[in-house]
Amino acid sequence: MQARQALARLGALAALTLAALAAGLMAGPVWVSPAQAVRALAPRPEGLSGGPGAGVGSQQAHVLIVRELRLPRSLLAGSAGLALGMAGAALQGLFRNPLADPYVVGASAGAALGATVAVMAGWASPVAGLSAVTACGFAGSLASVAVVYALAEASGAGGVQGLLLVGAAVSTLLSAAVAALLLFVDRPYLQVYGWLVGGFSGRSWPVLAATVPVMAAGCLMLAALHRSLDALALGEEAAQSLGVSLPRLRAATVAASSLLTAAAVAAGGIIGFVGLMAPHMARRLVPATHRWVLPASGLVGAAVLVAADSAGRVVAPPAEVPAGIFTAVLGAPFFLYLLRRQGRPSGAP
Amino acid sequence: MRLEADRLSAGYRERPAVRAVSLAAEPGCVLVLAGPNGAGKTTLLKALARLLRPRHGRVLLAGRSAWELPHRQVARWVAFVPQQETPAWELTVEEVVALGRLPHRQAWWRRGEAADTEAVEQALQATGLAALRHRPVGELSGGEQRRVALARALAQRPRVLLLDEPTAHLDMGHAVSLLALLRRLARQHGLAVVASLHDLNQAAWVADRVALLHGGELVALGPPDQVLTEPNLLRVFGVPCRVLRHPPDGLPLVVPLWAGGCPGKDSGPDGAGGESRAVPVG
Repeated sequence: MQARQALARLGALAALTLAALAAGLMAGPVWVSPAQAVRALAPRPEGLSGGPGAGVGSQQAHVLIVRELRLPRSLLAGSAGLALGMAGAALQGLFRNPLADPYVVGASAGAALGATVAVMAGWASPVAGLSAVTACGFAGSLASVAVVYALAEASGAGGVQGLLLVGAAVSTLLSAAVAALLLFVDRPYLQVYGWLVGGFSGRSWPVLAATVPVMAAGCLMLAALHRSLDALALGEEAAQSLGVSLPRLRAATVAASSLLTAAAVAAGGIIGFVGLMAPHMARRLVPATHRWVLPASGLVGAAVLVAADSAGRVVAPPAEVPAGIFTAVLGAPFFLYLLRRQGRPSGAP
Repeated sequence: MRLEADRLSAGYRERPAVRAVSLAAEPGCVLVLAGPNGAGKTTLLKALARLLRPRHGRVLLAGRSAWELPHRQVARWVAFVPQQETPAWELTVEEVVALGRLPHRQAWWRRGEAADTEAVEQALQATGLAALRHRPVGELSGGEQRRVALARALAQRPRVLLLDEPTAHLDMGHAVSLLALLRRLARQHGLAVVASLHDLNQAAWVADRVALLHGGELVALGPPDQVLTEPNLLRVFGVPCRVLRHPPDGLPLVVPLWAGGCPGKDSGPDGAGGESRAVPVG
């Protein structure tokens, strides 16, 4: 595939993501027409120009809904999807395994433990725009990945395979700790569970401001690694003989993808499947080099998660289906369909 | 550039697969590593390629210890073609060959330069892969994949080229053209070439010098006609051989002798029975 064609496909994916974002502004229990949405986004929305005595008109309600609820929320879903898609692609590249997802090195179990501890301790003061529970989930996610990485390096279990095995063991241990903690208390169970299931309900600008810089840092780090990840596709020895330092690549990839994952978890809870599925869809659309796969996975993840979040608001108003559930319910069958159509998983080693 | 093993011992866990081997690959020459399975050929190649840290001894590159040179600097000088190399994802031939330019790249955000494009193009031409450039490597035959790995190493524009069983999976025609290419790289471009080969007649034809390994130790090192001798081959492979002279150029031609003569010729009316008798005495 020529670079120009790949670029065109990347552009189409970006357009799709923007379309999903636009739809996300309009869809919900209260439908907003495109014209109303555009008016609401204008620098001086008419709805707010009324004097102090003006009643709460429907246009003013639309402005509030679009500007304060749906826009930040859709952007948050989009950036979380972007982060999960890129983290999934990077970790699949590092492990040379199409089954890797952003949580294989312990990010989800650590987040769950952090959030559980915060709920049980009753911490309430927000940290840097995040609620205490979310902040502890973010910190727990990064901490558990750091522990997994340190244990894997110390055990000398041999490169990426050791990382994968230690990740599985530590995740199991932390999940058991969460289960044990939840057994001793009854009240916070729903609060913790609700946080874990995720979704972007009620999240607004402060969460976006707190998570986007972290995601941007992760994206930049991955951008610097794309050729090394390509070389690793040829095998560890081939990559080494091309001058790639495996320990450094391992550390940088794990660091970048866990920043992305922890930020996504802080943004919307533990959302499964996007990080696994997005790279596979990306590899069907663009060349398999990471220069294309990383951004394409990010855009697929963003479009899918924005669409899932919007759909979750629409299907059963006024109740909401969290985006994480929606991606799994719609994503898994679609993924199976893709596998069936292609006859084999992309890139099975 | 001269690549040298100085009393090199290397291997995994307790038992070193290579013990106290000293040899040198000279620029402009082809050095062939020969020996039975488990003789330590691959381990020696990996140690020379700076992929495996030696337990004792040193690897010297232009007189300097390879492990004290920067990793990327070694990658600009030394290319390694492993026995098998299949990409994990659906990379095309051209994408894989272009990875050979990785050690030469200045910064990650820079696009490839004219020198990179030219090196990739020449590597594709030299290995006869130009027509396959847009095909996914995973869909090619085993022999074509070997040529992709070689082309990737050539795009690296190395001074030293290390190859592990480069002719395995190649048909006779491609094997001969690959060996001729190795000789040309040595003679015309001054590369130091080190290749492990199982076919001793290929070794005799391509090598300036042969290193015969057995049980991790260097048994003999020298020109093919001095190393590939009947006593050496009996000792290392356990097979009685007759070493003839190749008619056109007088190179050694190794013919193994089977117990009871040639297999299939004396197996009675059932020709298939010859298979079970084709066991060399040892």
